[in-house]
Order: sequence, then structure tokens, then C-alpha cells
Amino acid sequence: MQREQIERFYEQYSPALVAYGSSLTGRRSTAEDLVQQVFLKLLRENRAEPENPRAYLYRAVRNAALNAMRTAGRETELDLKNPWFAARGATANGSGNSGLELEASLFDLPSEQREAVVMHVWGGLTFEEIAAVLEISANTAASRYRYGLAKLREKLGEKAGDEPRERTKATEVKEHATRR
Amino acid sequence: MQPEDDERFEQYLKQFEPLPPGPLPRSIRQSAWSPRALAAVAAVFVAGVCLVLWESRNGMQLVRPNIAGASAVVQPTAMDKGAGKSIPDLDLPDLTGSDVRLSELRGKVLLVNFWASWCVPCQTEMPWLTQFQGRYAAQGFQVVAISMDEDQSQCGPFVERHGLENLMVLLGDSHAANHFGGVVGLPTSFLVDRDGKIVSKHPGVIDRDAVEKEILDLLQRPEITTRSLITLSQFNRLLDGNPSQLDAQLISASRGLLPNVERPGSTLGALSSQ
Repeated sequence: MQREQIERFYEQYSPALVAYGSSLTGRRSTAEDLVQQVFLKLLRENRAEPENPRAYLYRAVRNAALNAMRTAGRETELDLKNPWFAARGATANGSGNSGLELEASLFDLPSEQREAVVMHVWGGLTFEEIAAVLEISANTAASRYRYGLAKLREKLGEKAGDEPRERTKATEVKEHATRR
Repeated sequence: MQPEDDERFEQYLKQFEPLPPGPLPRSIRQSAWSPRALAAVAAVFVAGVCLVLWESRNGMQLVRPNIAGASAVVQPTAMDKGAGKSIPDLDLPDLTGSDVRLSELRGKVLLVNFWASWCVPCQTEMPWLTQFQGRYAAQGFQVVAISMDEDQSQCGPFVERHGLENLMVLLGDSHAANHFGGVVGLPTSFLVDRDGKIVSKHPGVIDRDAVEKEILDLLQRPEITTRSLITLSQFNRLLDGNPSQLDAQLISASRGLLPNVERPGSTLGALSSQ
């Protein structure tokens, strides 16, 4: 791969890759180091462009993260000091949504569901690509994603604009009646 | 769950954007630099040297020269020119053209950041500044990002492109920088406590963890103001009488809410203890 191309990939994919690495290790600083190591290796190795560069990069970051966690030999803990996300709607007076709450909710998910959600939502990977990264079937990738999304929605649903279930039904009936 | 609900929830999640990491480490780039990139760096270096010479010609002190383009983290020091001063009583326009008086931001902990859209190291720390703003705004923290762009039409698009809408972006110049004791290189940041006192200067890219710690320390400190040293009736009594020259000075000082007004033996001190 040409170095210009690698740098372009870094610009394009590194934010979501760092979020993915953070979701695995719990620490943004560790994830940032891992992502940079992956690109450093690419620059040194002068290898041919992989068939699917995006899936290749996610796989490489995943392997690096698992190795780092194995070497550290400790349970993964969420470090809220350096956030992975910034809420687009946050304002100067502190209103808007907190990325930290999202990170904490994501971290409560089982790791296999968490990584499927992060890869699909913020990495834009298809279920086939997620399947290739995780070496599972596309159906399994899709179901992990759906279970993860449902759990995340339970935790964050009201903030996302959902109303509690009973009220939603009542509102639906009311809206239906109004339309008539 | 309905598929359209999933989609709506996905849209909600996507409003949270992954924060970009810093640039690739220097060791990678050195091995991968093309002649064109080297020429660009040389041009930036020459521009930086010219900037330093120009600023020194204008009488600014060359404290810790940090040429724009260098990304080394320089430790702050209270000895730097600027630390210890009060935030200037200066009006600067924001992106809509409305003036903001810096001294009116007293009561908040401020991170005043001098930057420019062409300054690469500035872009490194911008995501950190937005993080600080998002995290600590509710506790009375405000990032004031003063642009030093000569072509100020660059600021708006830059702010939009880099998602800096939650910062207070003001348009500045070397005159504004002089009020902070001079800014030799970009970026340069100043931390200001709730009383409007500049407590530290950070030339170059900030040390993210150290600055965050400093912000937290400043947020925990109570605001000290001379407002409580004298009541209105006491003040009126002083005005009704025939104050001495010292009293007049103290009255004047208390109007400006300057610290250290209360001194043993002073008229104002004696009154406030009544």
C-alpha cells in the first residue's frame, strides 16, 4: 500500500477505530496507541492492499486489543477520564447529551454485542464485514447487533426520544383517533 | 421493536461522533515523508521563524519560543509573562460580529486559547478543548478560543468543519495577545480562575491530562471577591463623610473588585469587620 493511501485511511477510519478499540479495552488512551501501532506496522511492512481495507483494519485493531488485554492480564474496566465520543448537540452551557452516559451504557453490554454495535453504527461496517472481522456468520453478526441495540435502547431509550411503553401505546391510540 | 424504531435509535446514536485521535506519531511520518511534504514543513518552519521575528519586532517578549508547526508539549510555568495578570477589560467580536467583553466572564474558570485555522498543532488540541467544554461547562467552565487568523473569513468554516460550535470563538489579533503578556507561537493557552486572574500559561500543545487536572482544581476553588468585604451602607457612610486620600483609593479599589483590599489597619478593613 502507498503511504499516502495509508495516511488517507488513517484520516478516514481512525476516529471510529479508536472508538472500537476503546469499546474493547475500556480505555481511549490504550485504544489510540493500538490504532497508531496498527498503522505504523502498515507503513513499515509495505504490504499489498487488502481486499477489504476497512474490515482488515478492524480485525487488526481487534487482535492488537486482545493481545494487549491478555498481556496486561487484568479485567477490562471503563475509564471515563478520556471520552470516546462527543455529542454533536452539546452546547456551551452544558446542555445536550453526554457521551459518557452512552459509553457507560455500551460498556454494560456483553462484549460481543458491544463490538457489533460499535462496528455497525460508528464504523459503518455491514454485517458481512462484521462477520469477517469476528469470524462468525453474517446472521450471527446481525443478531448480536440487534440484541445489543435493543439492550442499549432500554438503557438510553427515553433520552433518544422514546416514551415509556405504556404511554407510547396511549399516544398511538390518541394519535390514531386524532387522524380520524 | 419496529424496524423504523431501530433506525430512529441508530440516528440518535449517530449524533455522538467518535473523537479523532492525534496525528500519526512523528517516527512514522519521518520515514514516510515525501519531498513535497518536506518542502511544506520547511515552508511552515520559515513562516514560523518570520512570525517570531515579526512579533519580537513589535516588542513582544520571546518567552519559550514555540514556532507554529512544532507540536512539542511545553510545561507551563507561573514565571511566564502573562501568569498573575488579570483578564483584560477587552472587547472582542464573536463569529456573529457581537462584541464580548472578556472581563465580564469573571466568575467562570476560563481556558483562553490562541489559535489559527492554519496551525496544525492547534487542530490536535481542539478536540480536547471541546471535550473539556462538554464535561465542565455545567460547573462554570468556558473555553474562549481566540482566533489569530489574519483572514477572519476562515474562522467560521473551520469551526463548522471541526465541530467547535460549543466553544466561545472570538476574533483576535496581536493587540489582544499583548493583553495576555504576548503570544509568540500558536497554540498558546491561558488558564484563568474565577476571579479573573491568569494563573498559568501553556505555550504549545497543552498536556491534556495536566491541564484537565488544573481545570478541576480551579473549579473546586471558591470565588474570592471583595464584594463581601464592605456593605452598601458602610460604603455610603464612607461617601457621606470626608474620606482621606487612602479611603478614596480603597473605595476606588473596591469598585474594581480588586483582591487584597482588606488590610490590617485600613479604614475599609476596619469597617468590614464591624
